[in-house]
Amino acid sequence: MRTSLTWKRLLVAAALPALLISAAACSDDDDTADDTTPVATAEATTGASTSPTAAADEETTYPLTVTDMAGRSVKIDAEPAAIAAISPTTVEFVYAVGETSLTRTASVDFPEEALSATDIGSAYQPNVELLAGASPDLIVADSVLQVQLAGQLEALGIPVLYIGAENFEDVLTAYRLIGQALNTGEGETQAAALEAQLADIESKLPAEKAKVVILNGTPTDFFVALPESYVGDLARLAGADNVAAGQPSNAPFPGYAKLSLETIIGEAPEVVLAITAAPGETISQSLAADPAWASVPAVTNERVSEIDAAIFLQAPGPRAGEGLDILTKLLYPDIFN
Amino acid sequence: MQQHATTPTATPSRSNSGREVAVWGFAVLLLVLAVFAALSFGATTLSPLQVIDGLLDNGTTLDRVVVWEIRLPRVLLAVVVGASLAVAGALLQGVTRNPLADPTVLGITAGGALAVSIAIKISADIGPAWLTPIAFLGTFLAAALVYGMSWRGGVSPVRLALSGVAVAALLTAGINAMLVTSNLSTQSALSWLAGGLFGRGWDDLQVTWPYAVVGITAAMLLARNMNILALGDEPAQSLGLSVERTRVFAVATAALLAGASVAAAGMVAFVGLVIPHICRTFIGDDHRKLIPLSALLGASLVVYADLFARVIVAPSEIPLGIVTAVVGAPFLLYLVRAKT
Repeated sequence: MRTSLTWKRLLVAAALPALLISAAACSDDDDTADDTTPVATAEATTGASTSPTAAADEETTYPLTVTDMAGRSVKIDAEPAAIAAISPTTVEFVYAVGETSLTRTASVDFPEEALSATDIGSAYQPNVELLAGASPDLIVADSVLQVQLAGQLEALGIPVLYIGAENFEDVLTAYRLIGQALNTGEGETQAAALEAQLADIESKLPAEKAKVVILNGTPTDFFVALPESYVGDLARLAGADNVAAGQPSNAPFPGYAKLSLETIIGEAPEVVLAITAAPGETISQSLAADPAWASVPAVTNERVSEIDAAIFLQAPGPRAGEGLDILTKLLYPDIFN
Repeated sequence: MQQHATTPTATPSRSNSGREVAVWGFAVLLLVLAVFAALSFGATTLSPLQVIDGLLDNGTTLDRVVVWEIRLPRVLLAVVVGASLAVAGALLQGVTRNPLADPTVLGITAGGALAVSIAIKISADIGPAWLTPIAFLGTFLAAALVYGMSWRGGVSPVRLALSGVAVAALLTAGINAMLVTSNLSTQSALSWLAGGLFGRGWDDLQVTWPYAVVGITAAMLLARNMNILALGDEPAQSLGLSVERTRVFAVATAALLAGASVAAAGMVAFVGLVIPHICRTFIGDDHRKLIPLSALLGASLVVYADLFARVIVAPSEIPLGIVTAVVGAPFLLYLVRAKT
């Protein structure tokens, strides 16, 4: 008698999870999209850079199908009226082409209008419920930071366009793509302006290039930016001779290297650019006081500068023009001021 | 430290059965409430009617998306994770006759996490379909290592617990080594190591639940032998039980369950430790009741903990592992003080 009662209870206990689970199994058909989850590779990104073909005054016709910067095919049925950008870079891109975003991530501080958008948390783990709650008709996600969220975002049933910037070329691609997707000529205008700015810089650069080291991190623990990083690419275009060129990317993030202090100082950089990633003492302040750096030309000539973390690190892309302007002035003040 | 030695079939008297019914009713009610609460609360609070509409697809599109696409798969995964961990803990505590045993303490979860870290490092976009068997391989190898290390013509429960602690430390060091030598994109993929269900969807649930069902079923089939094993090795042997075989099956089942939970949620500590204890105080040492009750209460704990993790610092969230540790660590301290 007792035993049978116990087994009845067990059956009840076993049936509940089974019920819940069978409910889960029924939903399989909703989820086939995952097979095509895109993977951002260097190839996919550069491949996409040739596809967007919108000219400045060309009207976009909908439905529009484009290849985004994560290499995915995106279909947008009608001109988006409610846009949700979900990373610092994508929020800036949307505002830079004259549109507004319903959402932003917590760390976004530019442009100021974006601060009134709904804060959906961090770019790495955006709150998808708040995103869905904003009822956008286009989600603009970050091809550098957020590729792994594709399945989750696609489940919302809203078109997701991936843009982002790992280098200057990507910025042009992203501007053209977002301009085309949102039917605004402003994307092409911005991209063309950047190309013109770059041509102007190239025509003025001296033959003799400045030896530059770009540091990123905290005064006690920093990494050196390689030419393959975003800031390294802008510095290259601004005429920097990066002392870390050719080093392997061995830092926790791609495009950066952990170099010993001896190596850096031994290269005798003429200019030090520093991005301090934490509040408190900056890298440049700590270098000025460090006897190890005392003989380095950049320190003796007082050419150690902090550069803006938002422009060069946190939100790579939309403000590339401003970034080039800052870098050329720091590297060649006689020519560009 | 524990009353395992009592003959389980003799423990409950007839007067206890009313209390038992109450316990089961309470456990089921707790889980149903947990699931309903987790479906209702979040960035937007939904009324019970909206939740039901969302579940039945009669609601507005937004309710449907929030309830069906975002919350439900995650809640069901929390059920799977909690039930798996709690049952694994119950098995391991039985095998080691040690109230401090659980998959985390014995290094089994760390084995799964290390295996998954290595897999992610090799290929960052490895899908959930592969992660689960890889996690299981890791938990199984770690369990085999712990078992092998404590073998000396037989496994003493104390040696098993001690080698588990040593293996846990070693494997955790391995995970840290993987973390510091990986690049940023891999690190974000590894963020689940802290324990969490962020972004988990139907595809994750689909590959995880069969492991949990097989594991919990196996645990139920082992329950009678676990009761005999609790009598002590020699009495069990004299009753005709193959002691080592029971132990090996139990540890392997625990590894299977821990593997399912690691693949789904990373390292979620203390569930396997705390839940079987609570269940024992309610229902005694009979594994035929202890295992299903642990599954129910473990599921409730993780569903509530995940809800808490989602809403406490909204719109961001904290790792689930932190919440279960905050609940579990004080309980462990209480155990240490109350039972010595």
